[in-house]
Amino acid sequence: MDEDVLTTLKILIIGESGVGKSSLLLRFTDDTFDPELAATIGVDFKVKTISVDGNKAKLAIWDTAGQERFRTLTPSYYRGAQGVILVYDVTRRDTFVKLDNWLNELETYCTRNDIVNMLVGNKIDKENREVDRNEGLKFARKHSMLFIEASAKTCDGVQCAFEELVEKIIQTPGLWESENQNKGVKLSHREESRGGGACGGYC
Amino acid sequence: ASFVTEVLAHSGSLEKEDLGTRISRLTRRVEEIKGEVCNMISKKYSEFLPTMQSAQALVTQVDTLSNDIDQLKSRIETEVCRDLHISTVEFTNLKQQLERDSVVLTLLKQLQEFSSAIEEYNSALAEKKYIPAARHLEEAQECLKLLKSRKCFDLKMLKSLSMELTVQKQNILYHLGEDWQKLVVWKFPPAKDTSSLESCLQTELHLCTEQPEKEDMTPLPSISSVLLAFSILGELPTKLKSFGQMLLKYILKPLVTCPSLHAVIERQPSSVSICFESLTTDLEHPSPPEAFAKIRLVLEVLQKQLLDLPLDADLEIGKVPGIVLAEMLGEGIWEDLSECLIRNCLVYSIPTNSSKLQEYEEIIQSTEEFEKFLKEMRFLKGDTTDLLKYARNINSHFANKKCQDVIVAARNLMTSEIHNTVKIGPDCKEALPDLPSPDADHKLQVQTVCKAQFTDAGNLEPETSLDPQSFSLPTCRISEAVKKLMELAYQTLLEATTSSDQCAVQLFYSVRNIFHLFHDVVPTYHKENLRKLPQLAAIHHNNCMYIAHHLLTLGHQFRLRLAPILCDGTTTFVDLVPGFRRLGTECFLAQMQAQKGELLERLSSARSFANMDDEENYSAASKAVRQVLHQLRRLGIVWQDVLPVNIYCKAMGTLLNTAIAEMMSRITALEDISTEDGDRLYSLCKTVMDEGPQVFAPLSDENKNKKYQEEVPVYVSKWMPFKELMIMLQASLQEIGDRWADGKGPLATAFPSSEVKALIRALFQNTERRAAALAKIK
Repeated sequence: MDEDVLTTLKILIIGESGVGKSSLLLRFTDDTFDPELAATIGVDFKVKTISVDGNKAKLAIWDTAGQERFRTLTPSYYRGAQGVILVYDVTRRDTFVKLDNWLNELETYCTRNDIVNMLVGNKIDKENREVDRNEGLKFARKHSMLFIEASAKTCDGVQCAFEELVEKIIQTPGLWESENQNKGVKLSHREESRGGGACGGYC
Repeated sequence: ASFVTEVLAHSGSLEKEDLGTRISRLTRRVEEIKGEVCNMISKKYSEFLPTMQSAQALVTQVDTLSNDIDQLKSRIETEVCRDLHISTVEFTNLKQQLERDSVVLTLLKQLQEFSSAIEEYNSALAEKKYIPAARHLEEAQECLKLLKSRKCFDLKMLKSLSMELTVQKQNILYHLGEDWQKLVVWKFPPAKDTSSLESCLQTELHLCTEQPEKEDMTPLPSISSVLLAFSILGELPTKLKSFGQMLLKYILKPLVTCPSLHAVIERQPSSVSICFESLTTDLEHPSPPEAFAKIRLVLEVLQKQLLDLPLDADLEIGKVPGIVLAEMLGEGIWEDLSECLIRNCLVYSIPTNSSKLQEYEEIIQSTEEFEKFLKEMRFLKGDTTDLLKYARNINSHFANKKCQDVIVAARNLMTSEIHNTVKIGPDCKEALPDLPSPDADHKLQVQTVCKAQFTDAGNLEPETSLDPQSFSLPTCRISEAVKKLMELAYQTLLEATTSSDQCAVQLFYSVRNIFHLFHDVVPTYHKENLRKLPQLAAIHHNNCMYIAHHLLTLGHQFRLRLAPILCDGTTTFVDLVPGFRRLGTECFLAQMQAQKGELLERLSSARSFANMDDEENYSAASKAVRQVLHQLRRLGIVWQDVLPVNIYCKAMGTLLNTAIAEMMSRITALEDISTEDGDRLYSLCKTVMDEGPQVFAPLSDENKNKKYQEEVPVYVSKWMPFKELMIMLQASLQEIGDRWADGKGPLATAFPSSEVKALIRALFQNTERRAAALAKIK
């Protein structure tokens, strides 16, 4: 069943504690939601095969612990990551403010600089929104990130987030083919993403 | 050729002619010499010989004449010399006779003087006129000495004379002694023990001042005459010395040593007596002024009654060079007395607290007055200032005493039990004696200035400030004694801030010495316990860190308060900090090493975790694992609440890591793991996985420990790989492949591909699926 898989991509989910990283993953991999999910200890790992534009990709998803006390463990997880999902909680401004720290950490520990980042504003099902969609979009644009708002609870945007990320990774030359050079690369039909230079101009 | 023959023939004839002339000339010359010789011979024999004969005749004449002279001369010499010798001998004899006569005459005269001196002495002695008697005896002695100086004199007589003199001297000394004892009367308690207060109370000294008026007694001579007689006889120093010793032993020393003892002077018409009375006092040692006063009282009486007697009156007789009795007495006892005063009185008066140093000024003053008094009395010579010197030196005495006390106290603290602990933390301010707010305005100013500067600079503060406790020592337990030790150091430094320069320096360095001492004493004294008991090792570690923590700032805190002499930048303790940290770390690391060794030893009995399907192997392995967990749990308990939380977690994490790393290396080395083996290994790993975190219990409040138990992956680096191994033991090939995920899964971060492959081969049968799975792991 693995035979037709194009490649295995390492995806990292990071963000402040309690923004719903594990919930997003569970929704994506198991299509379940647990409102009382316990805080992740250390790291969690899931595998899921996904099909994007007819290309099958196997995702090795690392769900890191957001809590400060486990922060010393995270650096090793960044190694070899091809895509990062940076999550914040739209109902908690502090999780949005702290994004800078996360980007900083990402930049510090990532082993390659063409890694694809996706900013996810989670919990849009909630009433008390504190971060506006435009703010998120602006931030993502500023840092050349993909952006989407989602809700693990209502399943909004979750699948899309992962799919877009994978699509973008596959479209990024050199990010994954080096390991699978024998396999052909199918370029995306999307024109607008071609425009940028090295940075890609993802948004 | 004809020419040549011609020439030759010619020359031959020429030579012949020449020879003829020469021979004729020679003949002429011979004739001349003949005449001369003839002349000479006639001259010699007719003129010289007659003269010679007459001269020889004269010589013989002179010889005879000189012979005559010689004979005459020798005759004269022999005759004159004989006469001269005879006359010289005669004269010498006469002279010797004269000398002998005169010697005999002087001797006789001296003998006469001697006898008259003895006679007069006897009569004077009979009348108890000691002074003349002594003088006469002295004269007699002088005579005898003169007599003795003449070696030629009859020794027998000299012997008897000197014997007589000795007898007389002893006689007069005896009489004098008798009278001395009547004049200066000691009364002692019956018991020999002089140390007790009671016996002291019974000691009395009577000094007779006037002659008793009773008829039946021969009047006693005055003390002065007795003393003078002693002095003339040369016995005064010994007599005074023994008196001085008695005085010292029975009167002065008790007065100095017993604060309750007081001297009482009783004046009777004919005598003065010194005795004691006891006044109750709660002092253990008399204060110096008091002791000085008591001694002064006694000495004043002695001065008046005994020492100051008018020896001068006898000066007209002309033989007493300025003997000052007080000086003599003083010379004899001052050394002992001053030492006694210092030992029993001044030493105890040294204050233990620098605040009382001012009061000590009084004591210095009274000492000065006391010595001045003694000098006026001529009891002391001008240049002796033993007491004052001692008293003046108060600062060094004080410092010495203080430093000694401090070091002794510190050492006692160091040798006390380590396990009596107190909890300290950033919040417990009582860990230190509050430094009193600096009373000097100067320091207050410094502080306010500092504050002002801080407020001015307020806008420069970063938005995210550091935690107020960032530089605090974390909460942990330290020995009570060490806390006290630190307090002692602070107290001593505080003391130094108010002390004199010299004292401050000494105090400062004794504080440093405390820490040096700690370095040497504690690890040695508690060596065995620190090695054996993990809890003590942890406390000792904390103790060292606590001290190092304080040493960082200790010098700084007192920098502005200490004497200027210490403000040259040497007042620091920072140099001791690394040493203390090392001391603590070394001890704790040694303990960790020991624990690690023990853990590995326990695991070594697990039979490499091979063939777990064998019950015996399984039970050995499971026992080893349980033992390891038990050891860790026990350590977790003894270190709980003792070590700072971070150190606790680090230490426990390292030990747990050691244990699981050992288990992992054993398991990954296995070549064949059956399903049952795998299950059993899994359950062993599960035990560690479940119970391992529980050993993390840094706080005594069990509910708060959950946090640290969750953080096990942070403290145990092999925790995640261990988890992967555990998963592998029960996973399918598919699951293993997923966790490997093209080298992007957690299994790939936990193990190198070779180990994963080896494990797969050990766990699974050789099938096509296994080969496919192995092929994916690169």
